Amino acid sequence: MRIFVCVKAVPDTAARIKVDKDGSHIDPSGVKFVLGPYDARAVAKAISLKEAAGDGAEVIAVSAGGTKGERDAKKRLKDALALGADRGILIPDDGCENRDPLEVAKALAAAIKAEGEFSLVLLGRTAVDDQAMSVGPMLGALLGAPCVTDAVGLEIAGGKATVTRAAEGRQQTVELTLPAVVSGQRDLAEEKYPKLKEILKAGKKPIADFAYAWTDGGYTVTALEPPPEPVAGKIVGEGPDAVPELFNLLQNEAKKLSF
Amino acid sequence: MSIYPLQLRDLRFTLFEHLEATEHLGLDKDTLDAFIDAGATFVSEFLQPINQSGDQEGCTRHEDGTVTVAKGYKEAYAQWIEGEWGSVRAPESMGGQELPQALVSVLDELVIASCCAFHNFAGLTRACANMLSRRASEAQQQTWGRKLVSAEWQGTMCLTEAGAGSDVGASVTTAKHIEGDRYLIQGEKVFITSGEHDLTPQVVHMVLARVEGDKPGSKGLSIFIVPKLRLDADGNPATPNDVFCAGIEEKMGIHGSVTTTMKFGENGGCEGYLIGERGQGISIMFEIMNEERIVVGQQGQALAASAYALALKYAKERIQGSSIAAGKRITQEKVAIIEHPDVRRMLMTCKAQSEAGRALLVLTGLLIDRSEAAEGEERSRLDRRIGLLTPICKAWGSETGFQACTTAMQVFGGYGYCKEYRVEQLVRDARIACVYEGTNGIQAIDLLFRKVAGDRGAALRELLDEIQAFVDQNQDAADGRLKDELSALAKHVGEVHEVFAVLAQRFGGGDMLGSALAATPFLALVGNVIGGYLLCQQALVAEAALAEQGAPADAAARREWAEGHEERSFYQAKVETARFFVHQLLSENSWRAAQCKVDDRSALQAVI
Repeated sequence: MRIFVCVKAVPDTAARIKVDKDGSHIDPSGVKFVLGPYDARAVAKAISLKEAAGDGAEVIAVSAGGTKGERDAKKRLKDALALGADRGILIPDDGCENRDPLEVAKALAAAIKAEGEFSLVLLGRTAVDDQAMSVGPMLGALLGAPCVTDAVGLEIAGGKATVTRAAEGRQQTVELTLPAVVSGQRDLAEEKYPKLKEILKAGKKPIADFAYAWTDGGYTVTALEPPPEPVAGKIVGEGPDAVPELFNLLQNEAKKLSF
Repeated sequence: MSIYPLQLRDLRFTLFEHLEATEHLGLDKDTLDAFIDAGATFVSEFLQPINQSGDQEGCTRHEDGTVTVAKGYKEAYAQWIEGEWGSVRAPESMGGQELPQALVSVLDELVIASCCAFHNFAGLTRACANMLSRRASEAQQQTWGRKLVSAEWQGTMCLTEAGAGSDVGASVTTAKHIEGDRYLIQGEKVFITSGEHDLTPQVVHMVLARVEGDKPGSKGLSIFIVPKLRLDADGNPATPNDVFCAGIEEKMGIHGSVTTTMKFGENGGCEGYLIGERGQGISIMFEIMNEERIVVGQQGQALAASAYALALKYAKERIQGSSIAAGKRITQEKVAIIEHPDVRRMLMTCKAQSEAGRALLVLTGLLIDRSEAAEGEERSRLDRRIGLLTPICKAWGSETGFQACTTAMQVFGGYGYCKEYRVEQLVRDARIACVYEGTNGIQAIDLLFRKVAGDRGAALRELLDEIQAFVDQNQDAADGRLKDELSALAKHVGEVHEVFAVLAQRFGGGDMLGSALAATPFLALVGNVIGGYLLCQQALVAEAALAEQGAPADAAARREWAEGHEERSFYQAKVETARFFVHQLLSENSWRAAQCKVDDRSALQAVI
């Protein structure tokens, strides 16, 4: 069994993000980049599937991304290797920020196809920076494989994947014939922390470069605006007496209640 | 979400840019970065959340002598084992990772800064395992060592008795030979860190005891492995070994760490296993002690780093008073207290002390790594330096660390004295570092009598010459911007030479009491010079980085240029930190030198 996991270097969710002077990129100075949190769960799931499958199973981490500084995708591939992936593939892209998701999907598909057979491609449901949520399904189309999004459970048996998805208000179980593409929710796997031995071993695991000719156009991010600064809270009173005023403010000022 | 911002930027700066660790460690930067990141994640997720609650809850001893640790410790400790963090240093033959000591220093700072009490369980076990890897028999290493390396079992060091503290030779615990390496142990040990608890199923005590008939004093002591539970045929803890926790101490701080009184062989049934030869007890125990002394210095440093981080954050948020620049006029515009000069002085004191301590501890780790790889004269030179630095790491690290914690508390005003603001815990936790593992007074005596007078000042002179050479070489570096600081550093180097000459005469004349009186100020004197040296080295590295980034030469213009830019301001502040240390803290040496040199015997003469 051969499992590919696609991962992305994203800013730490705890980082304070500022918009660069050009108004469409983030200012990366002082921003820590991490392995995408959903991607990390996908890696953890891939490792547990590999362990269950036993000998001969392989997990390959793939990332399209920058090669410099904090945005260096190779570092995040090493995070995936430290979690237990066997090797990595880096698709260098120093213009990765705001890259057309279709281009990303094409690059990933090309790198995976170049490796030959695969059983499964796993990835996080979304990258927490641009939140396009589209690479997974596009990758399925490009690889000609069935794709399921938002998985919270995944089992492999007899050439099939049984995927549980968290759909709004209900849970759905889908059966897919392998090879398949699955994007995962947070609950797809328990959070996994790297073991010290694995961190050290990760430094020696191979990461191969895969060249892709990136093209621009078709999709351009023209503006990036930070959310408005939160306004100061207001104490309207205490106890039941304050409820009418609270209700009034929520309805008429904050416009958070409507009937 | 971290509670204390860890000082990862300065750690990386110290490791990579200042001390160029990648050159010495044989590990690439990406791997070291991943190690630091994983360590930071571990402490943020598992240790920071239990620091305050563990302090409030403490450890509980039950009537049957068992001890329960505070909530959350078990889960954190399970993750410590799972992540293999306990095995960093031990040799591969015992299941360890054989990682360099410099990385241990990095990991220790992260752990201690997040939860000092937790480190007391983990650090001690590691030190016991490392000692076993060098001194125990192969069978003992496999039976006991492996489980300490993996951290599945707890290790302890049992030296102190009610009548044998700093004077360990007065120990009365006895050992009676049974056969082979087996002995019957009888005695009571006090102040035993982690002597009994429910974090691990087994506790393995390293106990100093005197074999019947062996000579009195410290040279007659031997060291034994004494488990809480004897092992069955498969090597699993099985039957009680007549080891009983008779009480736990109610301490000022480190409440999450349990300090026990241990009774061995109360019913005549406590078995111990001799490590090495009879009479080697003290020398073997010192292997754990020396490692722990560095760890304890790191406790001071790491808690200082945490206290600084808390105080800095508070000072930026707390609005109080008008800017003093407006003179006596009270203006409408209120400012954050970081605008007040005296608050800045306090913050810079904490920053300078914790960063100088960090540099000293990582450097000492690197020297240990280099010594292990060296041979012949190079090895003895490195070992001399490590010997000289060990009491300074311990005493200077803990003393300045504690000072920084109280200074940080002062930044908070009255709130700092209240539990909610967390800094008072750091003050309480840090205070013990000045006491245990050999009080700072003992460290000062070790430095002056053994490490300095012991080799007629050779190791000290080597260090002072190195600092002087650094000053001579760099007078004009960075366009002479650090000329004043380097000159001051050289002046203080000269002062140490002068003080040493006076003390050598006193010591040579057999005036042991007069010499011992000067030991503590002498340690501060040397520690401060080393701190100044390391921060000046860092300032030059920072100057080079600033030049590369096109920083203006003029101080005011540079301040404006750096404002709001994380990387620029990091380097700009590194330079100012060295300046601050030299002018505000190293200048204390004039007073320290006077204390050493003056022929004042009042402390000896007074009838008190």
